[in-house]
Amino acid sequence: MRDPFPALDPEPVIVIGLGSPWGDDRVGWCLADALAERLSPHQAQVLKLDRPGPALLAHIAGQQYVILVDAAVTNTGMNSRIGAVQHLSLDELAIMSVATRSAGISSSHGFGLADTLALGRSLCMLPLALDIYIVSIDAVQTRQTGLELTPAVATAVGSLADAISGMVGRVNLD
Amino acid sequence: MTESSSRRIEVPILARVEGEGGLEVSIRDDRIAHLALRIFEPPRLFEQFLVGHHYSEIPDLVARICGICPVAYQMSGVSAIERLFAADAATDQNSHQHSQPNTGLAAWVRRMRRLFYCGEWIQSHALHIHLLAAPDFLGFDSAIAMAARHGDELRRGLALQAFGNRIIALLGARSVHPVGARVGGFWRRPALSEIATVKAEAERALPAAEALLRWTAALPLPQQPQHFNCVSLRHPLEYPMMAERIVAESGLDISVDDFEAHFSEHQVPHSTALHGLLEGEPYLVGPLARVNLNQDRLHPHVQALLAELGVEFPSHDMAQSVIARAVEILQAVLEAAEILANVAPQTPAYAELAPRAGIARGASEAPRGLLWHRYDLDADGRIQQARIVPPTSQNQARIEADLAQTLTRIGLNADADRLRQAGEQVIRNYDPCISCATHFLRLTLNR
Repeated sequence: MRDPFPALDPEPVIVIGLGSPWGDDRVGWCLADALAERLSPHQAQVLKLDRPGPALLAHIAGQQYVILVDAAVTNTGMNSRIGAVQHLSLDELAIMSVATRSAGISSSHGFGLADTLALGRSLCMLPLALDIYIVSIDAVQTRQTGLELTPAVATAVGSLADAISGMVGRVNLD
Repeated sequence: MTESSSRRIEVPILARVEGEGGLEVSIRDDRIAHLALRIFEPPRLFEQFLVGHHYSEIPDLVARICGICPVAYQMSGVSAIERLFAADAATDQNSHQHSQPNTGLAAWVRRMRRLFYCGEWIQSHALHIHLLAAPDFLGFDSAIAMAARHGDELRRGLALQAFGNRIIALLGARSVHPVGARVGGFWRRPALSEIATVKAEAERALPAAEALLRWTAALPLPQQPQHFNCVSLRHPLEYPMMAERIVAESGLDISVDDFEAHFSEHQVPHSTALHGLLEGEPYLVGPLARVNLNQDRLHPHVQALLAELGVEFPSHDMAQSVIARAVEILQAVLEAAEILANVAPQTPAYAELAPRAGIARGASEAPRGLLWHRYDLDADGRIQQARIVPPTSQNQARIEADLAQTLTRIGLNADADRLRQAGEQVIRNYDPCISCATHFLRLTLNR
């Protein structure tokens, strides 16, 4: 039976899948869909956001614990295999963003995730705890809309959903 | 005998999802021989894409043209269709919200659309002022660099942006590419509990919007007035968002139906986007043009604050655009608060309309300026032809004229970085989509 007084529950975890309708760039949304089936609202608030830019800060500022999942074209470094999942710190995300941008392979979106989180850190608008997961995708697979992720990326969704749902379960037990 | 000299300044690409372009300047004997703002404008592709679709699909399709101003595309589209279908009972764009009882579907739809539009102006202008324009005027490379010294102002700006997004989501189900609008009204009315939540936010946003206007009025803005003709919609009573007349400082006063008789678009070799001209001349659309032409329609509270601050419009100094955007944020917050304070339940939230063949024309004021639509429909309501004239196209010739004047005033022998920076700032002042792109410009200078 559901708790009749949810307002007394601990602050739920917020999981945000970032993406767009374009091919494997939807991986964050697919992850959010998978988690929404596994996690109750009591355990976590699961959101899907379409390239929010700095508006992301309104969703995470002042929260206890936020998990972000996004796709990135990462043709640099060891974890550039399509479907590879990286758990990054803010600093690592910033470094990766600079590396991909200087290599000319980053998104052309003006104010991306790394910029937004850097701004949030400068303005003290980040949550108390923040986990960032980046799934490597191929830029070629972001040029068409479609319902199917490429197999390697789809596999990443399953394993990452397992990991995050397990983690959220442990947080709720604490 | 003096030796001739030549110099070429090139910004190869302006990379941004809402538009791509570059800047190219050739200087010969200390004069600008050629200046070209090259812009790809993906939204233009939608015109052919729309052909064959049913009119009822227009709001959802055109919302995808722009991630920053989807409401404007939806409202210009539904305005055009409803004007053709003689459904102005549902829109009644020229009536004033206070001049008729707040009863009935027509009044409700009109007020909700205005609220919807307020949300878009607030979020778009807040984004532009704080993340794009303010760093230029305060001497920072970016908003991130600006955060250490102006954190409170940036937090206030982000809060206003979030408030605007909340309004859009209230009526559109989501703030990016909203899906709530339809021809005849909205798919659903918001729950009164949702309205109460946003109403409370509006009351908190009001002092923030006032403080923002005071802050922009105190920014160290350069003073560089130029000659240009302003164009905007004009409403008999309201500050214009959706209206029937297009006016210009040059004296033009026409129906939106007559747009094509006075405004032309032409191709230029350096741009995939068309250049818009009024009677063959460049012109300005956008917040500064709107305020210049409609300051008498501003909310009395806004007018009083401008008088207190000593800010005078009309202005022909593009740097004042940042103040004009703050003026429109305060206007929109005030109007949103008033509308939210008096929302009656309404079911259904739309009128069913019968299609008929003909030419549908409509316009609204996007955050970046006049947005004009035309759809040629058959008897089943299917689109045979579409034409969309976005503000960015209309401002391109004006931006090029501004760039030429600004770079010449600085001195064409100035170093490349100085000219590149000035060029970027000029472009940023006109359009938040292109403005974002200018942060990623690479400049090549050939003397």
